[in-house]
Amino acid sequence: MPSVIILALLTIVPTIFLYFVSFTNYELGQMWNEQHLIGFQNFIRLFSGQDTEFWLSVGISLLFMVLATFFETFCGFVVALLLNREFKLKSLVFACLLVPITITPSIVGQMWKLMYNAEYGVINYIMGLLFHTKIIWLGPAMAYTSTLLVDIWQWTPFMALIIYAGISSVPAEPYEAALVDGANAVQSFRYITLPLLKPLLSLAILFRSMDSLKLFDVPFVLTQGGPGSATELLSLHVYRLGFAQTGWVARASATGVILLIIISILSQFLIRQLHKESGPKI
Amino acid sequence: MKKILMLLLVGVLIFSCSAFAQTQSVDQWAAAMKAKYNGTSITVAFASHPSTEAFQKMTPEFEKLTGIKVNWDVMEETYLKNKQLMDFTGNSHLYDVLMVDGFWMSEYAPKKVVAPLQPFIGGKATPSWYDYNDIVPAYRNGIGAYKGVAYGIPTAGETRFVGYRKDLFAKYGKTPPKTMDEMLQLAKFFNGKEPGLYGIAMRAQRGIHFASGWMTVMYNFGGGFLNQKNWKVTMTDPKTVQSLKYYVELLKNAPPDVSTYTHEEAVSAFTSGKTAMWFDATALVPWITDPKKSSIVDKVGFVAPPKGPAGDAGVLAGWNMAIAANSRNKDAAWAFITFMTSKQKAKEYVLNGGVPTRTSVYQEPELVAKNPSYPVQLKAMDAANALVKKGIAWIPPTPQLGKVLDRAGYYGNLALTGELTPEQACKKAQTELEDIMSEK
Repeated sequence: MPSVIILALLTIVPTIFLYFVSFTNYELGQMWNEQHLIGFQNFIRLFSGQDTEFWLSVGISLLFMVLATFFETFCGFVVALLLNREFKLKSLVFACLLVPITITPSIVGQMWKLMYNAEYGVINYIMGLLFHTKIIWLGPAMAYTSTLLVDIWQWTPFMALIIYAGISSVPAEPYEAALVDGANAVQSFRYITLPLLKPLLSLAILFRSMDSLKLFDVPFVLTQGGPGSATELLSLHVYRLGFAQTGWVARASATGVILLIIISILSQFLIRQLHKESGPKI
Repeated sequence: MKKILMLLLVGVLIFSCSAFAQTQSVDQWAAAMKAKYNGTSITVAFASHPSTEAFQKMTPEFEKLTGIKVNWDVMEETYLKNKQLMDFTGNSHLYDVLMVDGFWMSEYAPKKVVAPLQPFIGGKATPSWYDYNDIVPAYRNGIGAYKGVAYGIPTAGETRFVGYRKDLFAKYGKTPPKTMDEMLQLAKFFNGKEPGLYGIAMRAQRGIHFASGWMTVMYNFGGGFLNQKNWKVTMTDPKTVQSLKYYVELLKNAPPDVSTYTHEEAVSAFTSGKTAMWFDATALVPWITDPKKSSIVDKVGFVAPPKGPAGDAGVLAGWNMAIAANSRNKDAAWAFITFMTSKQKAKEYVLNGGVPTRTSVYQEPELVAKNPSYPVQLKAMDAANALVKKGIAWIPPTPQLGKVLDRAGYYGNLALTGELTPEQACKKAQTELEDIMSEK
């Protein structure tokens, strides 16, 4: 029972409040009694395309999720395979891998903002030395990629560590058997490592995709959603609508509800995948 | 001989007496404040700005005199408004004194975020050395008041003018711009003229910053976001479209990441010597002439804003100190404002790097000698006055202002990044602003 109360206070009440506000015309700075219900108007506005940035935000958020999760999983796999052997200073490498995960995202944003600076950033300095070129990292053409790179930088180690934990817990027997049967390295990876890792991998992918869909801090510090709306992810869009200059809290809530629905559907889908794979084994 | 000596003595006595009387009145006031509010603490929410730094330097004296403890909460402009409104909406009584952008006044006043100041200004707690009427009238009425009622004390009045690199202009035999056309030609001329040199730096980050930068040139073309007589949206007015085209064209000669610039990045691009010109707020001059922050201190000259097809127009904007309507220490807050913005302290404030808003300060010979840009600033104020005479407020006084600027600045920024043409941007902004103005 206490857990139900805590859940209700922390999650259910705010969520109901969010749904309620999304049906009103409430604005930041208004007295609470000045708002009134306006039905589905906020949602109609979103779906009729009156809010021009909404669909764009949905698009780039989903794309961001797919790309970030894919590259993080891929790079994580490579790093994990590299880690899966004995070498000197292994513990130091682990410590280094933990650094990006432990830094607060807003600090990560600040750090990369300095490094990305087109005129005096360290990245362009090195680019200048090596290739004699200059990239406008946070300009309209590159801002999205730059944000993606930061996310990949920060969360690849997370994937790498999880995958490494998975790989190192796989028993040696299947590999020995495969070796006897004449399987090569690629085959034993494809038919032994991958299937055994799948449950863990799906879980990690689930975490990362939900997380990257909600990403806020890094682009907030790095680009503020700009230039134009190149990096206006859905979460940033919600913030800008409700709290930046415009103060449309109700419209922001409606957008938040949509974000919630998208995340729920996606995670349901991924969880079902997870169950399908691990189901028979358990 | 004796008589002359006597006269001198009397003269000296009278002189020292009057000086004594003045300092004593500050002390008397301070003693009265200390008796009432000793140990009170007030929290002030300010933006990072040269004027804030100046006030912070004066704080220890205020705390010592009155026994009122001041907690500073200083942040970037965008977060500032957000936090102030959250404090107000959440009724958390966190802030007592707010630093309020003149832009926000027409929203804060009707929403009652800030308290009307008339009872305080005319009240007994306000000493004679405060002198409210010494504040430049254009600032008092244009920035600090909403519908004729004072809600804020202007602390950093600003208009905008052009800064240019005297050394570069001399090197290539150019003269500073007098018209908008000349400015564009000069920006094009200097862009890329030397390695790493760009034509001009201005603010252009999406949203309110872009809108603010755009408005720097807009009125010189006769354009406007809104018709201030009937409050119709005039984004598709050919003059408004023309002004956006001009602004976008001008910023093609700015550093390539200008679309992310606020006033801070714009001024640092200029002070680090990356641009030949800069067209922004007079209030930022202390940063340009500070050898610690600027590498162009002795190479910079200033001129009044260039004329456009619609003649002279100038910016009138600035910051206020206001009392949060839900503050629990309104009187202590007013004591803080009194001390910081009084005529008595105005010179010290400006010497600390503050920004003048008082007539007496603009005319103070010692300060004029130190800040040769004051005469140019007064000229720029004439340009601002030209707009006032046309009956146009540089900041359209509507409660929807924040939204109007955010959205107009959003579409303008899209035109700058090339996602839309200026015509398309104005058309889309027209639709959306009409929607905003029809609220309520």
